[in-house]
Amino acid sequence: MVKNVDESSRNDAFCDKISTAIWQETPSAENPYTVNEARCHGYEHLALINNRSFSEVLFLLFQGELPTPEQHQLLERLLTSLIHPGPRHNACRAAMNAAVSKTHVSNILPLSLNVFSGEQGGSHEVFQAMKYLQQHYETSPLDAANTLTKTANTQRMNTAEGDIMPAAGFGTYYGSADTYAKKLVDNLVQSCTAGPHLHWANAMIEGVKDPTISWRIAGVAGACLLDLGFSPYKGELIFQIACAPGIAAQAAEKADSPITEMPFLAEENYVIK
Amino acid sequence: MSSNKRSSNWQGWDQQRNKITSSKGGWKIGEAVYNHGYSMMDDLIGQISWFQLLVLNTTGRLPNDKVATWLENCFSCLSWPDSRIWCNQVAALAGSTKARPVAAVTAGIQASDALLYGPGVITHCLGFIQQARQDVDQGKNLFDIIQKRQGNTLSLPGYARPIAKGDERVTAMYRLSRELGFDIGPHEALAMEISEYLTKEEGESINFGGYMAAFLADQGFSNPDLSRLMALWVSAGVQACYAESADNPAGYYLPLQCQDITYTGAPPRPLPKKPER
Repeated sequence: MVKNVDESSRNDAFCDKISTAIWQETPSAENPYTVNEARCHGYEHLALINNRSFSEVLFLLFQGELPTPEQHQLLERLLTSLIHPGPRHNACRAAMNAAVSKTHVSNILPLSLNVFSGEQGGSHEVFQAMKYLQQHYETSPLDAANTLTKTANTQRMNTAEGDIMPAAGFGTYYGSADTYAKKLVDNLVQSCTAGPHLHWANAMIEGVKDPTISWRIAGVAGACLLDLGFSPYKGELIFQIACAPGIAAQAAEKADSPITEMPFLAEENYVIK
Repeated sequence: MSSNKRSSNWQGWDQQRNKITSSKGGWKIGEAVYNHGYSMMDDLIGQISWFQLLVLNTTGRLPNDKVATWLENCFSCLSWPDSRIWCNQVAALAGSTKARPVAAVTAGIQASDALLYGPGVITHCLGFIQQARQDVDQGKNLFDIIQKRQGNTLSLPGYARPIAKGDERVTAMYRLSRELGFDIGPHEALAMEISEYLTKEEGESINFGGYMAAFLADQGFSNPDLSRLMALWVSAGVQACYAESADNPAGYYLPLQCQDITYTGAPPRPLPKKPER
């Protein structure tokens, strides 16, 4: 018989109050719960509302400082690059399915972002891509490309189905190179001041000998977010924020549609093994 | 390069278009609902418990009622109605904004997918005890394994826990295991041996996740089945904390005045003029 457990508190020194360096609320004179003035990293909220864009304040929230003009441009264009994962993405389909089945609107974005959280095609791929880039970008991109090629070959030998992802954020997309991800990268490189991670990853991909191994969207996002100074943790959160508008819009479009507006597979196409 | 396997890059996806092939079952309209070959209405309803169905649907195996009873009690052990517990607090906070029950409970369950407690630890607990058993079977010294792991600053998944030392749930579930007639299996025995060693050396002991993983490993459960089965592990505690909070006026759950948050950031500063590009 297992002995009765001698259970005792660790008496951890929990803090008495929540602390934050991000947002400061000064109470009004009338009520200690209502706010007289709010500041974000020292800047008055109303001044930010009237003088700065949403993306600048988004950057400020996470980084503690306003972006430089170059950072602002890259962030703005990245956010717009990511604004819609496409109506075929599982997160959008989840949103649309929920919308036609009349799921309560409050649940639409949370449930869709859950679907959007995955390690392949979801936000956690961005986290892992950023980790990969952090670990490798100071090495030779050509060496990394060779390793990627070898890993891809090994994965192909061992996997008969599905995409090959020799590193998070880089690999195949439906079996071949993701041409649209490459277009987005090229556009960002040409139109913005790209940083070292984006340049390094571009050089690495150019060195990969397998033409089907290329940028995936998570790699694009991860490289830019590192260049903007975000950690992988922050980067995954920003990625979810960036893609949420497209997902939400897809649900809104279907909100008043009948349940028949989304496919329900015919009996003959549903096979029970 | 297995080019024969991949004659067209996207052939694999094309084969799945507009078709679902399921080994789980499904609804044949006008005929039956099937769960892994059982007709739900004919074979299952009224005859098996919800936990047996949960295991069947998740793993494809219909467990006996004792395993299902053990699992059900295992869920109870992680369902404390104490809203200081992190996942429960998430649900209580949701209740206090009058969030809908499904949103609040889902939020609490998601919070429990953590590295400190809840379903998020299962993979590590199971992996550790399975590896430890393999190492011991291969003749490695158990205590060398523990010391080496701790020396590398790796934790011992399934041992110790936040807030308190000891874990009364282990005692309760150990007792239930015997009452239900389960023999002590090799994983459970090893897990308890490690616990005794840690208690003697460090005053720490096995936690509930560690015991649960070891016991269920002896019952033939492995990952990913186990992680999937335990996804709703904390749900009843989350429900309790949401319900209580939602029954109170909005904002009554641990309300904070402005001064209850300590601001540690930059002092007030003027917004700089927007630079020209």
